[in-house]
Amino acid sequence: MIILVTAEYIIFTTITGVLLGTFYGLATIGLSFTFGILRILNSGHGSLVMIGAYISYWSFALLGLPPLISAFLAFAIGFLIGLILYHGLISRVLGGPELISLVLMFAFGIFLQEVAKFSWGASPRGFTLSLGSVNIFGYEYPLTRVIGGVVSAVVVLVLYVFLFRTKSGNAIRSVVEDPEGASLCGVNVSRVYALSLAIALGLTVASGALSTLFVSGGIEPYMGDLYTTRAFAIAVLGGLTSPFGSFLAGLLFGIFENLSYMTLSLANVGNPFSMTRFLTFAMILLVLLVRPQGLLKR
Amino acid sequence: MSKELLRLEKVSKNFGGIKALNNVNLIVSEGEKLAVIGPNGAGKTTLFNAISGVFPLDSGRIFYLGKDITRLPPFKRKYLGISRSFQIPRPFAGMTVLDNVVVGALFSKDIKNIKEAKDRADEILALVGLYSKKDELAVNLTSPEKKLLELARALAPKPKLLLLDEIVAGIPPAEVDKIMSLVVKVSEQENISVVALVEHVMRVLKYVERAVFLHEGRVMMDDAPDKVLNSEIVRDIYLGKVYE
Amino acid sequence: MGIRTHRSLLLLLALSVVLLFIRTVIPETRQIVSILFFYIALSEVFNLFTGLTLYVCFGYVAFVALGMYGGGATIKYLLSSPNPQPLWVVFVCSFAVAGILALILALIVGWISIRLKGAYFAIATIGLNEGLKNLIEGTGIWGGSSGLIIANDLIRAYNYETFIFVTTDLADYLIFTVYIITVMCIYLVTKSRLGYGLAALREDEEAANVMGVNVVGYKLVVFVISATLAGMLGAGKMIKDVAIYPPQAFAISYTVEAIVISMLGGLGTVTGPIIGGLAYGVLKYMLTVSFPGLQLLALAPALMVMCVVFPYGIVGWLKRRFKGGVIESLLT
Repeated sequence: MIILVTAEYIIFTTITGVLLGTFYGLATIGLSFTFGILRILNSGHGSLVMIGAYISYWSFALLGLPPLISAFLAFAIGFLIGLILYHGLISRVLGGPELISLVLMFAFGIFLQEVAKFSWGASPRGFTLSLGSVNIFGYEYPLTRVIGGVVSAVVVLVLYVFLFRTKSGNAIRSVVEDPEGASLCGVNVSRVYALSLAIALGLTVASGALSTLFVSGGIEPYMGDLYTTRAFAIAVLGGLTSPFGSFLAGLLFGIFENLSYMTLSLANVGNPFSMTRFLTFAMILLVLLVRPQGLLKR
Repeated sequence: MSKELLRLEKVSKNFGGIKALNNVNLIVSEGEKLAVIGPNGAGKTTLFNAISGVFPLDSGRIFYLGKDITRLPPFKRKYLGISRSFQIPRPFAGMTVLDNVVVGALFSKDIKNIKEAKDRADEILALVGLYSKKDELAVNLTSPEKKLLELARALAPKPKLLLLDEIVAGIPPAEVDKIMSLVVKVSEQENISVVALVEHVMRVLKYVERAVFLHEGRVMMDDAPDKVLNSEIVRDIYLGKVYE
Repeated sequence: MGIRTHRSLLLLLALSVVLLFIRTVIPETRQIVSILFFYIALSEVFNLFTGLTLYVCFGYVAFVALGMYGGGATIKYLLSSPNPQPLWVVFVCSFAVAGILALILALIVGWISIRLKGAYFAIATIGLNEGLKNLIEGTGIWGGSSGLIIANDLIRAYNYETFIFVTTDLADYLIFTVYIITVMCIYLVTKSRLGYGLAALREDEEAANVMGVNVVGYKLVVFVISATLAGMLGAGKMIKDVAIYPPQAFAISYTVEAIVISMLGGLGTVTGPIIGGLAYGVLKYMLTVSFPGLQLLALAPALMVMCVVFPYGIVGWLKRRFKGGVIESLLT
């Protein structure tokens, strides 16, 4: 069977890749935020996305709320988790060996997975929210995904404004530059750390809620693992310490993923989804080999 | 005529627009003792870091015993005989004093196994006067003792080139003489070239044969100590007259 | 260099032999001891690397799985010929292949990421599990998503009694052997020049580098050794389970258990994992009785709390408490 690949299809794939990428970028920003400010790698990143997806599901199933609304709720919950996690545990391991914080966050991720499994079972859940579709270059694309992409971009813009135009944002940036200096200038460094972690986790959980705009099913406790790998790939690509670098890298990654699915499906080399995920990991290794500080410097 | 040990040729290093080292040329011969002096920020520690290999150079080359070591990583340079002490002591805090010195001794060309390293460590610790504390954890030492440990660690590997970064800073004058005579004694015994980095030059002047004056990353003077100190350039810089 | 200096090793070997003895003598304990030994062995492998370098490898699941696949495929291949080789040849080959595959993978991943900071290395090793799993499922090699089963091959080549012996006793002895090799590696490394270098780089990598320690090289050597041993553990596990399916093979849970046992016992100590393993075995048994199926749910937060409150583990705590003297030398 010969499948014709037209120029339109490639453009379509690229544009939808960008839309998907803005979402991936949002889902990764939390990771870079945490690493850039607290110097802690959230090795349990994906589980927070999973929690967000469940929040979206239950908001819809129980309260009929669409994902855009539940994203706010998700952000709030993530924010709260961040504050509790910081004051309870993270603040105590902050200056210590990297090993400890890595294991801690990893265990945290596992903990969230197990709580989800215990509370809601392991069978995948999902819901469909159809708002019709949009015509891009002759191909139909669900409106929900377009909304998801646009909303993600808006959120990142809000974050930008927050970091560069508000007092708290400036405080955060000063701590990244020079924690001691900032402290001498009267910045409460501990509060900045707590706030940063809270925002980072809030964004991640919120992105999980928005994920239901892109994928209508497959919400299960272990869905986060895939997001962790993706986020890692995007973060190293964009520079692990740079949130906005991650966003841009997310766009690139979205295009890559779509083109990869397309090419692999056509070439008929094994399972395109699994192979794309493998390529994501290969990408991590490649970037680490060639340019570990990321393609886009801070 | 002594053999040439270390040669820096047109070595330059920038840090974010600031020229920390600017076209530095320097030759150290076997058995020499010299002081690198200059005001704060002149580039003295950067010079040491360049010789140790802590960062890559922007331009220039470094030769050791005739071999180009510009691209060699720090641990290989140590192996060849370039040993260094840090200005702010960085002992391996969780290890004992003895083990700290053993690490210094073990990773060098002349010392073949752990037993030899331990013997050498004992010898050096006795020399600097820390033998009684050899089983103490390094983190428990007093500040002056940590400096002695730095020295011991640097002497342990039987180096050919010893870089001492502010070895006598923050030490009372009586102790300075003790440490410097010790350094001179060991360096003469074992034929080590010593390059001592100091900001307060008077303290070490009588122990060295040569002074290299650095200012803003450049070698301004390289001559016998009294000539350097009495020169106009040096006087002016130290008194703050020349400030671009 | 007499008995005194090797006290901790002897204590460890004594404890291990006792456990093995219990398993042989009391048949009811066979299953529990067997499972426990696998976890203790995996913890020792984890401990060998993470304890000595303070870099965390989250990817041992991948190395074990690779060992299972490699070992299993080798057995399948060797048993498919019309004249099956003697038992010991088949198993030596499967262990060798498993070890070599794991070694190569570790060289690639390690060489790329171990010269970077711990966080980057963690990223590479966390991704490794997903990466390898997707490669197998995506390309369909070694049975792909359907898995790899060698039970029939074994029964066909040898008789049923041998099959039973192999998959129960022999597998356990082989795992025990890998465990002993791992322990010996840890012991020999810590007493050697490599050990001093590792101790220095644990304290301060940059200073160690200037002091002459080949920091990247040493970390890599230890990583590759530990990965190879993990691969061989996988080969042993394959002989025990005689089947492997991607979802179970790459399940993250036994990484968590290996980490818990290592940290509970004491990272970087020779005796830590076995003490941690025994303590964990008891805890796990109690949990299984009262709350079946909820081990990870209880284990994960316990690990989190341990990170903050009890990072040195039992042995680490004992060593600090009883500084100097017999107990410390017993517990290295």
